[in-house]
Amino acid sequence: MTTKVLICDDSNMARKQMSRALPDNWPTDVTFAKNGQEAIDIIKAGGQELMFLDLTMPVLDGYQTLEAIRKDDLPIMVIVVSGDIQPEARERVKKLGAIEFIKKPVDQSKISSVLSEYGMIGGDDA
Amino acid sequence: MPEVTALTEDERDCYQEITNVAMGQAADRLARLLGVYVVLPIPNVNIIERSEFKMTIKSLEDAPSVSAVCQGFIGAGVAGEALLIFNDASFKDISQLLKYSQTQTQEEELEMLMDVANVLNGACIQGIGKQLDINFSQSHPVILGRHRPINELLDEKHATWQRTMAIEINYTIEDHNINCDLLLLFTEESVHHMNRLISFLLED
Amino acid sequence: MTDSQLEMTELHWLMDILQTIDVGLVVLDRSYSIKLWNGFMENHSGISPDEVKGKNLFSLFDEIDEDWFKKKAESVFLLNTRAFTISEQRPYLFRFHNNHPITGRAEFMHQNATIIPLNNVDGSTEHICLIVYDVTNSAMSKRDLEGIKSLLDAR
Repeated sequence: MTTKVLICDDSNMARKQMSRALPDNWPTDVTFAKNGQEAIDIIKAGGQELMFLDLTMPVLDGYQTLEAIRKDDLPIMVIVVSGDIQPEARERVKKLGAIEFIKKPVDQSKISSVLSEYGMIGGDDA
Repeated sequence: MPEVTALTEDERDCYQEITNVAMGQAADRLARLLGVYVVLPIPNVNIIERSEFKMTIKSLEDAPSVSAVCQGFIGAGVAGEALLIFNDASFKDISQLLKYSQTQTQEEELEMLMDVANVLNGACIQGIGKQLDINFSQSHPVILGRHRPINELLDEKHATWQRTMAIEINYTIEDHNINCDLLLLFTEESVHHMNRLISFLLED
Repeated sequence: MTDSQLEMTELHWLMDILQTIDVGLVVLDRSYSIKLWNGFMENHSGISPDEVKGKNLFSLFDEIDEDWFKKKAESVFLLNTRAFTISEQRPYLFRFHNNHPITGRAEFMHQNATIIPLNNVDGSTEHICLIVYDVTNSAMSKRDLEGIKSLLDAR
């Protein structure tokens, strides 16, 4: 079954790196957003299941995006992917409802282990 | 030497993202040193002509008086300087966090400036090096000036360069009156070389 | 840790230190071919250890005056004594860029150098080590000071 994945990052390179780091044998349909506001609009249009979300972005940053998702109770799982590796950043996004925090630069094995932990891919894929 | 007068959108994006990761590592160390949360901005990446340099520096910081430390780095054909510009009004809050005495002497201010510069400059330089697979040599830091207007820090009349790639990072600390700018300056020759290094990151 | 493990660890530390230290280290043999080239030399010259090893110093760096340098170095080989050169004699041995390429005023790195003998077990000297220090900052301050002095003297 294909998983609908949203990648939200203001950097074109970071979006590419993220989509490349997804497991090769995981069937996905990937959509991209350049900031939090774009992401919210796409989520509201429906169908998205999982979002990889950056924190430092113009217009609507990652924290504000998580708040907006919570306020409107939007049905999406969020994994934060950020260069901001301060312990407090991790705590804050978890409090705001992100299921996981992955530090940049992303690597495929970390993504795979997180996805299998949440049962999104089979353990063997990791 | 080939001239680099502008960056493509992809190149700028790439330097911004590399800096983003490096400054996150630097902020993490500063956060642990001071026990605070560092607010991370979006870094600004620009090619600057020598004639525009003073204007750019001046636009960074409107404080009447600043102190600055710079440190050279070089490796694998990439050379530049990390310049930490510290708003003098920040010293009071920093001294609280670093637990220096409240009535600061000139010596203590210098200690604080160097403590912060060591953490931010070092982590940023090594963080960028790591992503480009370069093990940079770092020179000893040099004080550019203390308690001066920002435009008096630099002597561009004697400069030998034409253009530089400047990456500006403005760090602020949540709930404290602390503000500093980290400026990473790369020589034009280095940018030419780095553009080749990053081209593999930009491939589809 | 056992003693031999500790010795290995110490050796690794020393290697790391020599690689990272902000001083240039070059080992040369009797015919001035390069045997060792540390991180400072690699980063400032832009030439890797693999590219320099076994090559003649003067063929790679024609900015070094061969006769001048040999005069200093031969005494180190022969007399087993150290030799020093200061930036006032010659501003540099290797023409490297200034370590502060943007804010600095010097066009190149000013250098002091020390040449030390490296002894074999039997006491003979077949290798020397060239140690290169970046003294740009003090050279510039000195130049400024001289300038001010001569202004004052002229009054």
